[in-house]
Amino acid sequence: MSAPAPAESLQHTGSRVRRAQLMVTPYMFLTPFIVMFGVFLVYPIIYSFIISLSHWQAGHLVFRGLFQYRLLLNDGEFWESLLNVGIILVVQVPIMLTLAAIYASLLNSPRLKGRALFQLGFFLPVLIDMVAYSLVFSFLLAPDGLLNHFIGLFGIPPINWLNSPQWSKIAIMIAMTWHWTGYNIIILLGAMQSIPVSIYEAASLDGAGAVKQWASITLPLVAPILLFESVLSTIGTLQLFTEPYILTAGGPEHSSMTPVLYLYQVAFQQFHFGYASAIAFAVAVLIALLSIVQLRVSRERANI
Amino acid sequence: MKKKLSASLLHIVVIIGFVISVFPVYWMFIAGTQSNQQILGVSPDLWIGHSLQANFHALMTNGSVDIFRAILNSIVIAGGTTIVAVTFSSMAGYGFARYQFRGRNTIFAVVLGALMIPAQVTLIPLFILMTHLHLIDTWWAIILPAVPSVFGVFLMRQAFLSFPEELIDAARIDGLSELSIYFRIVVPLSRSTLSALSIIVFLASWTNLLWPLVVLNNSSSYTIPVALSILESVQTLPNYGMVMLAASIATLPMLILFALLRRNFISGIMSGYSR
Repeated sequence: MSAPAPAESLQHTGSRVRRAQLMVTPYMFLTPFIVMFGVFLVYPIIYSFIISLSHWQAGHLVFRGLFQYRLLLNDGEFWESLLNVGIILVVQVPIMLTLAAIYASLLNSPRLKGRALFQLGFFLPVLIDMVAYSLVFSFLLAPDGLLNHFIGLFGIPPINWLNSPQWSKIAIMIAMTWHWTGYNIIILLGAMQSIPVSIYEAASLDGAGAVKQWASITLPLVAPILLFESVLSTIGTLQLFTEPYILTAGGPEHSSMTPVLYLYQVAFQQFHFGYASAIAFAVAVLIALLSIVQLRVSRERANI
Repeated sequence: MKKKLSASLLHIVVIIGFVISVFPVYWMFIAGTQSNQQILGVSPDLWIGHSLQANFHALMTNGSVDIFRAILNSIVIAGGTTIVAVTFSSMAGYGFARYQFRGRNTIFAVVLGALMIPAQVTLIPLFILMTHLHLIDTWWAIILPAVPSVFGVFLMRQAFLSFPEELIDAARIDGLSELSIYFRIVVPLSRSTLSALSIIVFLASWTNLLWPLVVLNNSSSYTIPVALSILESVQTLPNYGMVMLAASIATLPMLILFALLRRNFISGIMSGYSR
């Protein structure tokens, strides 16, 4: 934390003007950011909390205490939206990270020919805008879309991916997994490539095979990265908006409603600013708690 | 024998993943040249169709969205955001890393604390603020709230902490002012971190849907994500080919950027993780 003190290192130049200049300089560097930070981040956060304690009437705030939060506790649609992202979180994130770990390891294998081309292919989904890829999947998953054609080849009857409460979350998970697995592969691959080759050489001299090397060297060394990816994926999933907005609009029967999509509808289609701000704060607290828990757990495991 | 078998298994598994990754992108470009009958036909066509011109004509005359205007808006907004946000946050990162001053640790703690707050908390107050400032439907409405990049300050501070002190001292003895030391010596030597941050900020701005959806109501101000989402929702009878053509056109700038800056992309994504 201790940064070098230029004032000390400059004593030999001995200029008083220079030292006075150095007193002002740090603020010169900080001011542009701090001003923007205050106006567009700190002030909105505080204001948002005040709105969540109020009722918004024709541009005026009427103080209502915790009224909105009490309303939220009894709002079935809000709880349903939390449950939905909870299910997506518990199912999609482990699948995605397992796939990413497997494919990163395979793409890192020296026995794989054409590695550069394959890596490029796995990275391609990351470059497709979230709305664009959601549109692609809304067509691929349509009742007479390509995925139903494909499963039809195996004799499976067509599935109503986007318009049935049983399948809508799965449809969103399929799309998300397609888009974000490559992202996680790139990070893991980077971590794997930075493991010194000498460690593997020593292990193979000791007679450890490829699988054993993977389990005892690669996996433990990239475990912190995997845990961090799980934290970021958790935060991302709790804030899920674009995919359900495009693919299902939260339906049918709220089966793919997410907290942020709900917030958007309450705030900008029904214009209940007070209530929407309460939703925003509830989600923010949840995200903060979950990421703290996850980081704690990962730190404890790292200490063992 | 066993080795050969596992090597071919390795290739088969990788090829399956590769095809799943690439196919939807391939299909997006192909479907942009097809008509609805081809896309939804009994036996789907997986090759270039004959409706590129018709789809393009439909896209140009759809009346609700101008895709090329949206690309221009997105480039200006993401580019402008990147330049200002990276300049401001790297300067702040340098201030925190290299100077002792009163209140430094407190201010830094407050800035870091904001990293915990998700963006949707500020949605409503920012909307009210933008309405009062009469900035709805302008580039500024998107650029200004994205300027204070807390992550950028954090990333740049880390990078500047390890900047060699001797170089700065030598420049001071040569009589350079603190600002010109920063811009003429520190910035050029920190290009790799700065370009990584630029990519992160640019991508975040380029792909953002929620906030632009809130503050952009006029079709001439739409960004790419908003334009694409509107294009799909305003149709009564969806023209799949036209929507896929629009998505393909909107994807091209990002593919070109990646082709030019491949290394920076990868390191940008990596540094977003190693915080």
